[in-house]
Amino acid sequence: MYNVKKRVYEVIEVSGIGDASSRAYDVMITTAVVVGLLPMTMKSESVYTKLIELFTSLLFFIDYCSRVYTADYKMGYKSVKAYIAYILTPLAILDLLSIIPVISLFLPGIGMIKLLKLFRFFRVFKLVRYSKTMIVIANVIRKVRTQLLAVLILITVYIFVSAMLIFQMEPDLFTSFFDALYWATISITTIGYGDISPVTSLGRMITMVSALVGMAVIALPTGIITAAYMNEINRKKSKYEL
Amino acid sequence: MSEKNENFGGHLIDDTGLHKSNKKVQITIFVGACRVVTVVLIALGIVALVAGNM
Repeated sequence: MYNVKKRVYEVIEVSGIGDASSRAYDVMITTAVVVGLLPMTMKSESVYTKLIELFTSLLFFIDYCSRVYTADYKMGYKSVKAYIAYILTPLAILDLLSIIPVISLFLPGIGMIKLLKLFRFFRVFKLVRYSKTMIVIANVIRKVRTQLLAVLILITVYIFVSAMLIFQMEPDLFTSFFDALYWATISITTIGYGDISPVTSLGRMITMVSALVGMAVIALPTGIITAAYMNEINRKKSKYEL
Repeated sequence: MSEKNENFGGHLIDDTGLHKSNKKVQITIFVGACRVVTVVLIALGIVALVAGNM
């Protein structure tokens, strides 16, 4: 018997060789993602951007419903748990978030609702499914997530300590602790806008030390991801050689 | 594509006793619909870009 659910799953997943339906669907969704991001490049909204929003959101909604409907195939086991587990996966959450901006069309001008438009950005992550390299990178990041979390905590602590030190040494320079945090982040990441700069010798000394140590701390995630990525590539290479 | 005496809901070709598969027609319709939507999206995108930068 022809299994409709299985066929829906095959179509919405990345296309296999010779599957014209799946290929056409992939191209359509990829186009929808790219076109759906266009309103973010414009200052004001027009009837066309609203049409794009409505049209792409409808497509993403159908795509999301289809993915939830075929969740048991995706997760590999047939039970209600498969649907719940799928809905809670990062990509499914991002799929749902990418549909939310359509609410701003029906409730325009209401303070926080306007912010929902920013959720359009999450549509970019839909493209991850369609690139093998992106899938590898996503897997690599998943593998080293504990190390990355540790480094993130280290960076946050370091920024806070630098901000506290400079806030105490240069109290006239900052109106609030948030300004000090902003200064520490901009200095440590080597961006250095220069809108806030220390004036006392002690403040400058703290800046020099925090910038030097900060560079090393900020470079840590790059090293972790690069090493894990190289390991993954080598592992795949040796798998094919065997 | 035609298959004989199989109950899969295809058309019966006049007096031949053969069933014409609906599957290929369905695929063609689906692929066509996807392409139409893709073209409409691209057209909307171009129009929105032009209108937004005038």
